[in-house]
Amino acid sequence: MSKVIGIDLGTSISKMASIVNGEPKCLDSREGSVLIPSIVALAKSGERLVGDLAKRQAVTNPKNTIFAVKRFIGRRFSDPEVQKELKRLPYETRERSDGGVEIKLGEGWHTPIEISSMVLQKIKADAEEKLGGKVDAAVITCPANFDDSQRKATKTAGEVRSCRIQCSKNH
Amino acid sequence: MGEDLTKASAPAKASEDKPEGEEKLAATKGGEPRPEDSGREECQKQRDEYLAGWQRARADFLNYKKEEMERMAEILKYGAEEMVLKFLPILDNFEIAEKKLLNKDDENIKGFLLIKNQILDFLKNHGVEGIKAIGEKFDPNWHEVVEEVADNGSPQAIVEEVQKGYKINNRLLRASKVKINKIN
Repeated sequence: MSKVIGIDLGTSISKMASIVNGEPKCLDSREGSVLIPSIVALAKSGERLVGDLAKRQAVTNPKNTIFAVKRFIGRRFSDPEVQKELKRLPYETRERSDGGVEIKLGEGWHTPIEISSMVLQKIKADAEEKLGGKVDAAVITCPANFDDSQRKATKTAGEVRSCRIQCSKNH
Repeated sequence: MGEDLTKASAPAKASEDKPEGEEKLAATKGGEPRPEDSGREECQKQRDEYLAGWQRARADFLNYKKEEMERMAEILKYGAEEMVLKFLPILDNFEIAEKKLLNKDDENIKGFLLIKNQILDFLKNHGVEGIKAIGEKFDPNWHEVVEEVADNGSPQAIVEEVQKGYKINNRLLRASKVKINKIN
């Protein structure tokens, strides 16, 4: 039977929960932690790492360790908030043809949606392992100050990984 | 849960099998419903509902019992995790003190180190083991890099362990904080 999970997609940390035996319960990641760092990295060995594993190698690989992408979701490159953030980041970014933000990971350029979807994919895989069933739908949280384009972008990030996003809630 | 719930569907069938006397009563009235018959039907409906509810509750209880047993087994296996995690800083201080020792042949020092080994044996008996670090290749599953240094060894090899890591029953308890060799 397919399952539904709730994901708190945070800027630096994410969490997941599901209804287990009729009770809502936070689920552990494969690494055994409830808190999953919202970090994606391309290791020097070429392997893609997400979560705790990405965080553990961040010091040695700052250019290919992507974090805090939620700040760019659904925002334009010229946005003053984005420009302020970009000054603090060790990884490369550029303006996309449509005015959005693009992030360099390895040799490729990715949108914040794609990076977020990598985090969501890991969360989904961990939840499936934990719950012992396929997860095909999720509820993803959105901050109350997210505008429509940011909400849509978050939803798209979930849908990229063949997950039906039921709705986004304010938190 | 599936196999138990199949039992729960039994009451629906039971309601179809009317008692013999009931059929006779209905026949004598020529099919017209009597007030006592509707009362009986209501009671039977309630009976079926209660029976199905009881069977579901029983199935849920059996499933709960099974899951609780699994949870208990998990707690027994990894229950010490919290306690050991709080205990590790004490062991870290032993490690730091050992590194600073100049004369390890002193009898008092030997006794001090024996206490450390005793703690390690105790932890080993509870499934806690240290993670190998120095000389190994960096593995984010077990190690956390705190610094990159230039060394003659192979790239990504661990050259120094800043804080020892531990695993419990082959599951990570605390990643070891290490310094690794730079990739040129």
